[in-house]
Amino acid sequence: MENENKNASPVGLTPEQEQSIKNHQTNLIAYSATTLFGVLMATVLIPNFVRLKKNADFGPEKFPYIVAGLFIFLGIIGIVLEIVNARKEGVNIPLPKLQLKQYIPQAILILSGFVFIGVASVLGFLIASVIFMAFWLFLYGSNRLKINIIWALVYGVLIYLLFSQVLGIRFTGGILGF
Amino acid sequence: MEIIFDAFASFLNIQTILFLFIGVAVGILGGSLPGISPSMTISLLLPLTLKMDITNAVALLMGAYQGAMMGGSISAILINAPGTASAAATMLDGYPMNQKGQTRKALQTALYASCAGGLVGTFMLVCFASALASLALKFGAPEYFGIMCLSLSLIASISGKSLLKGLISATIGLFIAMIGLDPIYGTARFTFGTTNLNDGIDQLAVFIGSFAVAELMFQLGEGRNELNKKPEQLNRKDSSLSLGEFLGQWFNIIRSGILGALIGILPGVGGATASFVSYAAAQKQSKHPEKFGTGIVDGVVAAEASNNAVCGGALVPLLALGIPGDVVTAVMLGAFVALGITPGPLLFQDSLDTVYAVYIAMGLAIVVLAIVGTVGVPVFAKVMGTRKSILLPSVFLICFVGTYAVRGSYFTCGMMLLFGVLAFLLRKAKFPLPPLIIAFVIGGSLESNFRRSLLYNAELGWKIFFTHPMTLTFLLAAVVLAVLLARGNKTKKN
Repeated sequence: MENENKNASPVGLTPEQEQSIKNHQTNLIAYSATTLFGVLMATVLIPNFVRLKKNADFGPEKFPYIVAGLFIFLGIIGIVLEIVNARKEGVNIPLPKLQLKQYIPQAILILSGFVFIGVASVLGFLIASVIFMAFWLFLYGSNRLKINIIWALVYGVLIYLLFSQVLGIRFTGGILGF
Repeated sequence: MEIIFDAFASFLNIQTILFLFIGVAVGILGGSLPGISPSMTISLLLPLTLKMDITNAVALLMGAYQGAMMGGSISAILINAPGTASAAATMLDGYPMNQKGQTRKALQTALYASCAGGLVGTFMLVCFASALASLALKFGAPEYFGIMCLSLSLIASISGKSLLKGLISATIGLFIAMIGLDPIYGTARFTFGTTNLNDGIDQLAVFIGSFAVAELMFQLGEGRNELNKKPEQLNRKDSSLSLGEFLGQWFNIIRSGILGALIGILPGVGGATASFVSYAAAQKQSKHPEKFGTGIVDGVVAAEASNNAVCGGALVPLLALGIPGDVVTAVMLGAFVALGITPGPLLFQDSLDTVYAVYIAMGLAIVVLAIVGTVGVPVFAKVMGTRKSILLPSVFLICFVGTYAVRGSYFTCGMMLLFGVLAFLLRKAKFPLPPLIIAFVIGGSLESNFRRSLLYNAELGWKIFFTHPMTLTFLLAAVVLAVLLARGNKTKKN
């Protein structure tokens, strides 16, 4: 008993089996989401968000319905194939444990992106760039405060000048007026 | 012959050569910055050309055109964010090469493949302008639909290990392409009441979000300590492209160049489609298709040779018929008219010297591109010596600026973030992204040409696709190709 594979999990699965189960779980979730999205598209999105054209033989809604049908068809095929493959491998697919903690940095990055957009609209692109650049430098592991502030200032101003003065892109002015 | 010599002689002065260099340098800079498209770069140069003589103006514009098409590959390779839509396919192998420490090699490959592809495109332009333009005139909506189907069938070859996941990715791409106003009746589809979506989702927002933002999210998973480590110095000798490696790609270059030039001739199709079609073709015919996407020279060569060959192809309908082949040549049409050049059939009769001036400018621009690029590559490669903790946030800011610059709207930036999340989730679930991108790029044209074809003749209806010989050929080829590619994928999987 003590000589059992030390890599085996407490329930006796090898890492390869665990990975196989994880893959099946991920695939099932993906194919189910695909099917559900197709159903949502056909029943809610198209009827409510596609304006029809009267007397049109092949109207604006036809192609979306074809795409919705594809989502449902491919999703169901995926679910069936996944279940069949799991049975062939002799693997049971339990409900997955959602481990969302590992995605906190990514969530912070994306949320900060949206906040940046909001702040840039109000305070101006230049100020927002400097502030958020310093934050993102910290997020990505740069712990040197002085370097972060200097680089955020220099880089933010450089990018702003390059795009606005050389390339003529007009950014939102904000409180600085430019 | 005398006209050719006279046209060539008009370029042999310091001023014209200087404008060639300026055009190429500005083009590379503009092309490498996400959000600054080749058409925008040329638009910015347009006011300068109005006071110049024709030779100098043509030199500046052709230099900028070639430079911009190549420049997109720089950011695609260095930061996984294409500078131009045409460089989206370059990311598939260019960025992985960068990650393997082959940054200089990837940039050199992109540069010289662009030059070689540009030469192929220029050759096609010179030899076949009149004939190809006449053929392109015969293409109607049914023929375009056939070509789009053929392009879609290539999805079977770039779906990687799972064809089903590739098809689902492609379906997502088709859905995204439908967002906006209906192409035939102009009614709103999936705009959710906001006018920001009336023009659909901008291509660059999708590309930058799907590739750059998703990659930035993945990199965060490495951990702060890992990202703050100083990268190993690149070994100069090991990461250069050898002459033997480049010459070994001669067939890939010629095939991709021809494909790019042919696709460039068709108005409205563009460099993005050309580069993906050539990439897929190169993968299909490769002895090691499984290596595509892992960072190999072949993938970068196919994409870059093709998108620079588009330049030559897109000039064919412009010069021969006065019809611009893409957005860039549409801007150039304005420049030519302002310079007193009237593109069209009469150009070849009345101003043959101007036609040859354009051909020579295209050829010389490629030479200058090789020189400027060779000097610039080591400088660009140095960027990768920066710590990721500094480089990646800098890239993130460029992503925002680039997508903002496209439409001057933060809404596009928001879309970029959403596509970043979508691509992150797809990659986590091992869904391939290239099918999504291809379907998104051609989905709009696919649907509009399909529906226009049905409107041609109410009695014929869908039978129109079987009564046009070229359309039928394309559709049959699409079916056969899809089946062959799918079976090929299955055999390799087994």
